[in-house]
Amino acid sequence: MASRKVSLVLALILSASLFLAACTESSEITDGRNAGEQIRVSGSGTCLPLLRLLSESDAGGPSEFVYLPGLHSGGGIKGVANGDLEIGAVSRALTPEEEKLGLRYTLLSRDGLVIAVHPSVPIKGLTSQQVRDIYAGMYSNWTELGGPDLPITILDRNEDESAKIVLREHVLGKDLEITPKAVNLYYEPDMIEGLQSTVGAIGYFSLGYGISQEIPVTMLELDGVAPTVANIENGTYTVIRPLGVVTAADAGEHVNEFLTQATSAEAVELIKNRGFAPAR
Amino acid sequence: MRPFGRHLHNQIIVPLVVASVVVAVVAMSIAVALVGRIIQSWIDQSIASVIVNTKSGLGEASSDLQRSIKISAEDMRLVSAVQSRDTQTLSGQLVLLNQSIKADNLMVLDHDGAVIASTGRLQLLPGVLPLGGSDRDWVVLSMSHPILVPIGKHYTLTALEPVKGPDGLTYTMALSSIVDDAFVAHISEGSGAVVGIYDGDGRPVAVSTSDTAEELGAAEALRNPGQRVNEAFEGIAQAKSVPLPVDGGTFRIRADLISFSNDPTESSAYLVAAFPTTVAEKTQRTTVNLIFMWSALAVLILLGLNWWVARRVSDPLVQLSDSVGRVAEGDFTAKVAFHGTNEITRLAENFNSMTDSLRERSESLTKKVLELATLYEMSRALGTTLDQDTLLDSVLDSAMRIFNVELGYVTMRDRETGQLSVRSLRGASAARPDEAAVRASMSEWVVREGRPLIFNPPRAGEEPNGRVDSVSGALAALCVPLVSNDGTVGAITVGSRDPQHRFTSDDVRLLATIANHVTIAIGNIDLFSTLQDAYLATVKALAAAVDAKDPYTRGHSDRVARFAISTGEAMTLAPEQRTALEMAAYLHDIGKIGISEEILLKPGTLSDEEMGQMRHHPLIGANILKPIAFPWPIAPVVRHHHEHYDGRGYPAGLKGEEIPLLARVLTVADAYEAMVSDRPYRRGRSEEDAILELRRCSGTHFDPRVVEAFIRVIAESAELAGKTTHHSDEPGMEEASAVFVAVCDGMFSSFRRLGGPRLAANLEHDINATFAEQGLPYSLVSGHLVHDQGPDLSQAEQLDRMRLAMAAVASFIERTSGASLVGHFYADAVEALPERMRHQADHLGLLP
Repeated sequence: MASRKVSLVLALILSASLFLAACTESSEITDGRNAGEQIRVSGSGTCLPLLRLLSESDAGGPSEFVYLPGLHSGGGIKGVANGDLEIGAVSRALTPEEEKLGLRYTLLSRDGLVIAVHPSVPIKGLTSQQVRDIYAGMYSNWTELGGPDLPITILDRNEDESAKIVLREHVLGKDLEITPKAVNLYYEPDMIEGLQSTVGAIGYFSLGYGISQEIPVTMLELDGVAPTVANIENGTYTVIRPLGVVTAADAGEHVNEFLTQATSAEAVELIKNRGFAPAR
Repeated sequence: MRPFGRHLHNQIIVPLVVASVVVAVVAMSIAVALVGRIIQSWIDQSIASVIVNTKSGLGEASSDLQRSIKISAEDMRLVSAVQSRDTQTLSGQLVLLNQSIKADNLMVLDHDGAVIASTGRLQLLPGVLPLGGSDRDWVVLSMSHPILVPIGKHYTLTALEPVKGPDGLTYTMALSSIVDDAFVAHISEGSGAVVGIYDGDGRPVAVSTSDTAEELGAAEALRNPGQRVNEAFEGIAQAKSVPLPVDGGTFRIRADLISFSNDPTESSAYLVAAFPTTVAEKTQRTTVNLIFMWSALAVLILLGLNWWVARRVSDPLVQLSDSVGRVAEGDFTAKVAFHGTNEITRLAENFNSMTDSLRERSESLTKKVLELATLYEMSRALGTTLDQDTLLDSVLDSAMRIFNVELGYVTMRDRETGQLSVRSLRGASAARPDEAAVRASMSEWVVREGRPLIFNPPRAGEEPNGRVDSVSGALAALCVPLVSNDGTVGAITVGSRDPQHRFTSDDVRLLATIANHVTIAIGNIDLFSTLQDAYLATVKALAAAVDAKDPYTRGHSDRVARFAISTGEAMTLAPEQRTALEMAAYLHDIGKIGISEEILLKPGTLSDEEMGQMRHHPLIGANILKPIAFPWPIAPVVRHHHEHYDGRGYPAGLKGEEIPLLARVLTVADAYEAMVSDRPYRRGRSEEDAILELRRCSGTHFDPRVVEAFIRVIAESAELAGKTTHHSDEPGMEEASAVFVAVCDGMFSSFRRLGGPRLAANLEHDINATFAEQGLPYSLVSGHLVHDQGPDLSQAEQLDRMRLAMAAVASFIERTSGASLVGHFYADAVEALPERMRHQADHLGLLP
């Protein structure tokens, strides 16, 4: 009788252990990260990579940065003004109307504007005049400029874009009529994408963007001056845009903290390394 | 418990265990096979659905491309750019268009298939022929359709759409998706499998990206197709799946062909889906383990259940079988005990009642056998003994044994007084109950009524009656009468002090049977003793004949007989032998009848011839007795009573043990009596002399053992006589009378020896006349004085009469033979008397 009872107990133990072995599943422990205050960001597409850079560094703090689709500089300013955004990215100087809104402007960096071509065009640089002539439609093939036999695809931006404004200011001149062969691209990423994917294309975009994203295009010397951070800092490369943010005058503690961090020495070093020239 | 002897137990349990194990094994095999098939079919279905999903993803991608290119082809700016022949404008428009379409590549080819303008990841230079040159069928290519085609270094899914070129030429727009890892991941999204795309020649193109280690392994195996992948390709037609083991897991792969129904070029590619089976196999293993475990558990539980059931069935049977075995060996106390109300319990009840009935029958049989054996033994005993007391003792013992009781007694009625007396008693506390007890006993009633009587003690609950048998003290008793032809002669009673004992009518019948036997035996014994008495009377008559022939030795035979009987008793001879000895002693000298009176009565010594004649008398005696059919061997005793122990006797000269024992005893008694008796020619010797003589001749003449016993007898009787002398000088009336008779007899005897028989007869006649005249209560009958019973007289008066009678006898003898001879006769008579009687005779004044 006793041995029967023992064997029964053994069988039960065996079954229980098999069950446990079969059923054991590690339950994932969800890590309840305390999300800090949400900070909504939008505005100039040129400026956003810099803000991403900063917000992902230590300067970000505990706050969660939400990047809304590009609204250009003006859209960012309006967004902050009517409270839809905490931070508006701005890549140009504020207009007098905008300054009247009573927002706080913080300059973070100065970004070079580079003129670049598809890597299929093996030239080192162009003069400002050559650039003007290309955009005026005076050349149709790179052979005319000492390059390969490729048609020149001219990529351009709208007149109200900060990049176009800065380019006209420094290179094209205010009154240059752009050839109808050029196509206007609405966003800077589109410009960069077009430059990369179209053989024989020429265009212009943010130096910081190009360096930080390692865009595979040929960035041209302008009038013999290479577009580098050093050249921007020493003042020899002059085609630059101010990159900054507008915030509400009574912005929250987290926004202020971010701005303090973003203008600190560590942030300046980081900005320089990524191809942006720091604010002086 | 006999764990290996319980065959039935094993016979029940072994087949059940085997059956349950077989069932478990079969069930397990079926279940395992079923699980395997289910899992396999699930895997196959999963792979099939992966392939279907991936194909449909590819179809969607193709549809998207076609939709996009149709929209693009209708873009007015593009159309005008194409028509304008301006490459710069066309290129710019393509860039602009692709901003909306976001395709991998967008290009326009001229009517020869050369690139006019292109934007996108294919990075095509103007003028190249990405889809082949002029040898291709551009009519077909310029239709609107998708195509799987390698362009440059890439493998693409390209949608083609014709556009109107300048001068009526038809140009072709091409919108491409590069088939890369991301593309494959996109089209196979959510399938849970690793999917690889291979070109029409089976070369790997792209594999869906993966995250886990095992999926990376599978992706690696798909990128570098080995044996397994080739097997999968070969199995396309059968939709066969092939196992693919990789590090950390297992997959099954299946290949399929990809083509588009609306593709006139019939371009094609291959799809290989690797579906992870690690989880499925783990599930299968776990399920199989569970099945095995539950089967084992079920078998164990069944085993326990079987064990219990088998025990329930076999235990009672083993018990029954043991009990039957015990019954077969004769143990009827074997019982079985089960609880419950099932068939086995009923069997046990029947078995128990069967053994009970068997035991009862066996006990009653045993009792019957015991009764029969005891009855047989008893009847043998009845036949062998002629002694009534021995008979009664042995019968009583047997009866008590039969009835298994401790008390018993036999009462016999005295034939003359009618008084009952206890003759044999067993187990009672009092050795001899008094008469009152006997009179109050149940046997008194039984003898009076002639009917058996039982009394049993009251049963529990009955009123106690307090009856106890007065003789034995029995509480339960059974008494039956001993009934002979003459009526009831006694009763036999058995009883017990056990208050539980019960006598039954069967017992009455049995004891009555015993009583019948006893009665018959008692009758036989009575008959025999009557016969014996008759013999004795006859023998005594014969002895009287010898006495008549030889008056000198008158009374010799009587005395020898007395000595012989005493000696026989001392030697503890059997009763029959003692009777034979007595008879032989009376008759031992009967042969003297054949001896002439001259020799016989001759005073003085005999001559040799006379002596020779004389020595014939044992032989003559034996011859006389031979024709008489005595129940005892008397003749040999008579024949050899003169043999000597050393062989020098006559007539046969036998020696030692050759001489019959009774003859040896008789020899000693005869010799002693002859020595101490007076003879006409000599006086008898004293007892002491005679004993000395016996001792002297012991071993030569006599048997020493007989002499020893004889001397012991003589010594005892002498001591007895001495005691009487010392303790009562005043003799009783009886003794006085005996002395008187002895003296008278002695005188007559002496007178007859001297005067002859005739003279003695005359004298007798005269004396009798005188006795009658004087009113004395005596008479002489053939030489013996007989004391007639008269009215009771005082002792003194009797003594006076004796003296008167004595004086009368003396005066008659004096008158007949003279005064001088009277003294002689007196002396003769007195000398024949023993010492004590001589004293008494003197004392009583019977002597002159």
